[in-house]
Amino acid sequence: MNELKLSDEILLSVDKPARYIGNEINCIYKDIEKIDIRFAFCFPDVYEIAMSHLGLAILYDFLNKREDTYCERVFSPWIDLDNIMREKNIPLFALESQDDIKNFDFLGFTVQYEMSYTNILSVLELSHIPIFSKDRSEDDPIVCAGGPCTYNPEPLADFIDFFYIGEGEVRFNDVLDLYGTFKAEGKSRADYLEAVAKIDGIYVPKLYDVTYNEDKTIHSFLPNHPNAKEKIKKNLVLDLTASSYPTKPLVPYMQVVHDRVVLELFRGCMRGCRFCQAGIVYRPVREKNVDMLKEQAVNLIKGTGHEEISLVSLSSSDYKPLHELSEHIIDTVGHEQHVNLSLPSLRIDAFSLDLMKKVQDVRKSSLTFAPEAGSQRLRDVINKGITEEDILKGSKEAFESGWSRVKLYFMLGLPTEELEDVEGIAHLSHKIVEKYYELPKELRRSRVEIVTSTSFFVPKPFTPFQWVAQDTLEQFKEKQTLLNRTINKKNIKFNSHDAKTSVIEGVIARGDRRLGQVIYEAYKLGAKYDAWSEHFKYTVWEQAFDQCGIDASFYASRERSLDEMLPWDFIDIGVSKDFLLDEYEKALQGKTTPNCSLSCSTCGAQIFGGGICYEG
Amino acid sequence: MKVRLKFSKTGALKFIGHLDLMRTFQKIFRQAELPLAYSEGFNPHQIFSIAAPLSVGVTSDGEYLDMKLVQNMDTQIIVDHINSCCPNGLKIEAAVIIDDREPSAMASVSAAKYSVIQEECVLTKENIAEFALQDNIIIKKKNKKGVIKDFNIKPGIYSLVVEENKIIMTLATGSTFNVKPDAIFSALCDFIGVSYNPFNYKVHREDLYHSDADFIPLLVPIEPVF
Repeated sequence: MNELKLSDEILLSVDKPARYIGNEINCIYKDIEKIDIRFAFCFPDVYEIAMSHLGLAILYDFLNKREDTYCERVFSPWIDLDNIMREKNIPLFALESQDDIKNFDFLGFTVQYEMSYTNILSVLELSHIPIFSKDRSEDDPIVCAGGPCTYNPEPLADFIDFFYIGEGEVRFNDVLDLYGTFKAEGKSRADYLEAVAKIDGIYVPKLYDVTYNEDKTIHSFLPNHPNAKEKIKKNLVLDLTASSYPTKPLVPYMQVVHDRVVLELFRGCMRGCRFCQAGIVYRPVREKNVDMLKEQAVNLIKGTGHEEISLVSLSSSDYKPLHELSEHIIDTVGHEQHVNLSLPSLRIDAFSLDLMKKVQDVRKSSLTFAPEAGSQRLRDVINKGITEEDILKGSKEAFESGWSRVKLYFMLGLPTEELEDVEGIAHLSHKIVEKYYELPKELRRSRVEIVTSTSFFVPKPFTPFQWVAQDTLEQFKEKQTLLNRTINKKNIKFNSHDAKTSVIEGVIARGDRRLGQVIYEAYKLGAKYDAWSEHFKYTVWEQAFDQCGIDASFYASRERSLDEMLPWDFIDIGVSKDFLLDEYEKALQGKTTPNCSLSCSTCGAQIFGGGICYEG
Repeated sequence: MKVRLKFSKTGALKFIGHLDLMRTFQKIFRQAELPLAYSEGFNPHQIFSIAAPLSVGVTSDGEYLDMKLVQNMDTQIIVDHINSCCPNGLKIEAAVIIDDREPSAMASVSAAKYSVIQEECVLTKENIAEFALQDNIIIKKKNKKGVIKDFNIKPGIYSLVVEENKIIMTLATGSTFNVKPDAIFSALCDFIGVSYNPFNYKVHREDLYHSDADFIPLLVPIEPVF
């Protein structure tokens, strides 16, 4: 155990000191003297959120398998400690060694949501590392980033030295090997950044120049160095079964958001919902072998002592051996060690209800449907392959099986949405309530509870909707008000997401390099923890746009022409732009596209040479 | 069989609160593959209990946990199994088999011994001796209804002395009468008229004792074990 960076006085005066002490079960300690590369892995949010992230567990284990490397963790200190550290000028430190981040070789961010960008700036500043990449010197760590948001890296281009596009397990060893060699040879930071640009999937923003047209759209995006590739190809794990997976993930002392071990069934999603970025960028679907999963499930419980195991993926019902795997888990650790199984992301049908009944207490749990849109027309537009009949049949069967709590998730502001589609959300919710009252009275054990939640649609890069105009704040509010008026509140609870957050998220998601200054300005004006509604300050962002002379609506509510050069066009995700265009056109015509298991729509992901494209 | 564990909680573990410690033990026991007994019902939980919650910021060499196993095991093997899964700062010091009739550690505990180091010497040996000589030591304490009332802690101070540079005290502990170390220091500071800085006192719990007057450590069971 290492000497703690923070004094007792500080730790005992902040909320939840367990966030800052490391030393959890399965925490990795290494002899610093024997380490060549010190890597600080940062999830730029508070401990409880960060520690629930599977990617962190995978990469922490993966990087620490290297003998020459020590990967440690660093997260955003909560506001109380953030203030103390600034006031007392205490530099941010890693949880394991409690050493200053400033002395590390790398600081690597996982970028999971747009509203964490100001926290990235905050982590840099708290670490006493220059916020802008151009201001860093030989003594500063190399700052890199990866994760879903970095499929459009441009809004962060000013702050990050290099981006790693795609799945970390593939090329990160090459990135570190190269660094090890360069460090031993005493080469400079500039030398390294130029050399690392040669590795597949590595994007070094300073090696590219952007010019703009008079209408502010991008005119050209070109490499200014021979090592910089014109197209950056995402890295993809082909054989997920053989890929590195932790056996002894960290076990936090305090309760975190997901207090359980997580087993990944597959990556990618065959469904092709047109609003979903994950469903496109993680193509093709790659499954893990069920025997490997059975073995890993038992080992994970043994290695952590957790009392819950969760099977995760983007759509778990699509995993064919799901029943076999679930039953194996119930029969082994379930019975012997009283371990619970949790199954998120299931499509509700007789098949999955049967499975859920086996693993959870029907009276206590609730069922979740994500119709996303209120009318069949709009569900076809977004290619959500679920019909009203599926939903009502699923609800009926669920009520018959004893469930009385149902959660429904919808989006407001989807492309082509009319007010009648919005009302459709209320109507569908009402029909589900009616299904409950169609049950014979003796079967209705308790009052039915329906929770209808709406979020606002944010168009994302690499989706068929990447060209569309996002609804304005006024449109969002109009729709929200209409729905609130239409929904009968007797049996239905209505929750709605904050529209202002979705507008800023929309701007950043499809932003370009010029947004860097806005993010910086917003941060300087006090934006931080923007993903937390109680800390999100819309007026600060408005002020930041004003001060930078940048029009937010240019990014959010402007429809792009189909031939416009988009800020993320230089990233090659395997799925072609032609496919996205084709899907966009089909969406506007209300035509659906079959999922990958039914037929191939030649999206382009076949180029990787594996996954569902070759399994038939 | 029932087993009583004596454990220490030191270093960074002092920042882990009681409920988080309970959760951590659940995970350690499952990792150690101990044959713990589980409660009945839809959400069975492991049957174990901790004698007396330790305040965050306090270290200890004398914590106790009672657990129930469905299989007999050698106590040394239990200790080794658990310790192989414990994080730094948490360590099982000893394990004893207790009889089924033995009252739980939680029900038995009635006193705790603490040793305290002052970062800065605010309280002198004389201050403490004078303080301890009072007939009554009244503090303000919130009752269950949230009303602040006077409360005499003197009967709960079994001893309070200075040995070398440490303040050694034995205080009433448990559900019927409980005096916390910080109450003593706060009252002491009031008594000599200095301001109370809670961070000045590094409190360490030495051991916990049974409900008789002889201060027998909880590690020694009352009921004979056959």
